[in-house]
Amino acid sequence: MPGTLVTVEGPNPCNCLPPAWMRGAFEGLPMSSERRRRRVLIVEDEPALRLSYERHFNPRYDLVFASTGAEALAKVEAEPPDVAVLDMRLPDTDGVDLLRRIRIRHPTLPVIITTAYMSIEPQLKVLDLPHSGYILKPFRLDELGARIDAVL
Amino acid sequence: MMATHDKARDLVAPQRLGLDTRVEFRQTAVQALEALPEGTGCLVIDLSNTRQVDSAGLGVLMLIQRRAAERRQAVVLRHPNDEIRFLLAITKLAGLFTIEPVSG
Repeated sequence: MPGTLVTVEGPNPCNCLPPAWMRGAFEGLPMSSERRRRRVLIVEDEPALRLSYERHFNPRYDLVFASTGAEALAKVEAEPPDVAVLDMRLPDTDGVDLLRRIRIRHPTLPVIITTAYMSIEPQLKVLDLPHSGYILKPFRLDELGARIDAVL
Repeated sequence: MMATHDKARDLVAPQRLGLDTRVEFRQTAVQALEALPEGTGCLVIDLSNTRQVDSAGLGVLMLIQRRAAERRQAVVLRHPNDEIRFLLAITKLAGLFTIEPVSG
C-alpha cells in the first residue's frame, strides 16, 4: 500500500554472501569502475610541485601531468580524466580561462583550481561554472586528496 | 637536541614545528649558528621526525634562514617528509634552503 512502512525482520540481505558457485565467477574479467584507478589530470608548471603530487598520489590515482593550458586541453581531448586539478597561474593562461575552455566540450568534468587568491570565488560565481571549485594555497596534500575524493 | 661537528651543527626539529615550539626552537637554532665562525659552516635541521609544520613553523624556518644569511652561513633541511617538501615548494621557500631528501 502506498505510504505504508513495512518492516521485514531477518538477516540484512546486504550482508549475505553469494553462493559458493558464484564466488570467483568474475575473476579475470576487467576491473569494475569502482576498482579502476581514477585518472587525475594535474596542470602545474612548477617541477617541485609536480614531484610532490607524484610522490604523494601516484599509487592512489592514475596521474597525468600537463604544464601549460594548451597541453592540458590536448590531454583532456585525448583521454578525458575523472577530475582535473588546475593551477591558477600557468605560463600561457590562467586556471579560470582554462576551466572555461574545458567546459565547452566537457560540461560535467569536475575541476579543482589551486590558487593563493580569494578573489577567485566571485570569478567562479559570476561565470556560473558548475562542477568546479577551488582550494586555497597553502594547503596540505591530504586536503587536496580529500577534495579529489569528494568529487570522484 | 644538538650535535656539533667542525663546520656544521645538527639540530633535531620537534614533531610539530609551530606555535607551541617556535620560540625554543628558534633560540636553539640561533645559538647554534652563532657558535660557528661567521662566514663559515652550516646548520643542519633534521626534520626526520617532524610530522607537521604550520605557518608559525614556516616563519621560524625563514627567520633562522635570514639569520644564517646575515652571518653568511647555510641552512640544510634534512629528510623533510612529503608534506613539508610540498609546503616549502608551494610557498616558494624551498629555494632558500638546501634540502637533503630521504634516501630511496
